[in-house]
Amino acid sequence: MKCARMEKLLLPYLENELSPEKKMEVEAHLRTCQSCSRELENLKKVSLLLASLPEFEVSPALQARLYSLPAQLKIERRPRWQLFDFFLKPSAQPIIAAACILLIFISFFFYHPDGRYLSQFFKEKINLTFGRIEKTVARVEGLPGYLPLVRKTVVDSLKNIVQTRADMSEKI
Amino acid sequence: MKSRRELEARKNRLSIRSESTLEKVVKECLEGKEEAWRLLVNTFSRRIFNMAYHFCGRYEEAEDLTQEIFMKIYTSLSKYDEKKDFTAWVLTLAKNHLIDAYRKTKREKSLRDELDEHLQAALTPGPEAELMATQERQSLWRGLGQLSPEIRLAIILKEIQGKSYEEVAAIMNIPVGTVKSRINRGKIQLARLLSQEANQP
Repeated sequence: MKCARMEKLLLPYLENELSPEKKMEVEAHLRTCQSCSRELENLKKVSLLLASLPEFEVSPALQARLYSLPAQLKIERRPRWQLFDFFLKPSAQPIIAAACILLIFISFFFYHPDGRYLSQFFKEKINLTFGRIEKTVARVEGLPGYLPLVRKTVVDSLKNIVQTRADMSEKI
Repeated sequence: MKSRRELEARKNRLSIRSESTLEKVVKECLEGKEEAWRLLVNTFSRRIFNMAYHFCGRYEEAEDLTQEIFMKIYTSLSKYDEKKDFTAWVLTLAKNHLIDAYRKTKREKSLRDELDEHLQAALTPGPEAELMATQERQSLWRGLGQLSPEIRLAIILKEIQGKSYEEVAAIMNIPVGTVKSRINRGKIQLARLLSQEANQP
């Protein structure tokens, strides 16, 4: 067994959580591997040390502060305007910004002097795009008649290139 | 006859043992009874303060954190769902606050109290204390500050406060397997730190 795998098994081994076969495996490895058995010793020590860390008493001053919390909180009831604190929170800012931009756009619709200027504009845009799409579709339909022509020109130009190459190599 | 002060002190030591009385106390607390709040504080202050101190490593900061956590408990008591375990609810709240506070104050995180008077005073001299060199304990205490916050909290709850894997999983809201692997990773990290420090005179 490799030492890297032992890393995950040592603590369960200490806590007696391994199956008998795994346990045997670990013990076999520990007999041969010095660094792992040292690590096991260290782990044991860490567990003991952690358990031996002291518990601290709460100081009377703190205890008194804790007792008086409800009374303090009653006095310090937040004034009403502070209920809107969340507006200033950093996390709320992008949302508020987005809402503002949206409101500006909406105001174009409702308050623009030319009445429905914007909706007119959008309608025009939409009509234009439809026109373009129709044109493209028409062109694609015309393609079958157009293709042989294209093929002919391509073939001709290829022939031309081959011809000039041949001429040049003859000259050399 | 006992003096009034002694009686007061005894009243302050009272804490709640069973979960069913806890629920009653929470209700009373919501009705605004001061006695009930005192009982809640007595029951949890030590546990939460220790959790905070082991987590952040500085006494004053731990006291402030404890106060903030109790403030949160008080203000969100009304949101407590009676079907859930109250202790786990409180500790989850504490854990969330500790991790949030850790993320907010990015400065001087590795700076922990030395083995100072708080620590010394709390150490009870006994066979265990003699067995463990003070220095090793000190380096372990410092090593705690180098673990990532999630791993550190899992170790504090499981190893120092003696909770079971299942309880830790419930408090931290993660699967038991994750708790186990976190504690494993943390302990190995600590063990390596110890051996490193042992090699450096």
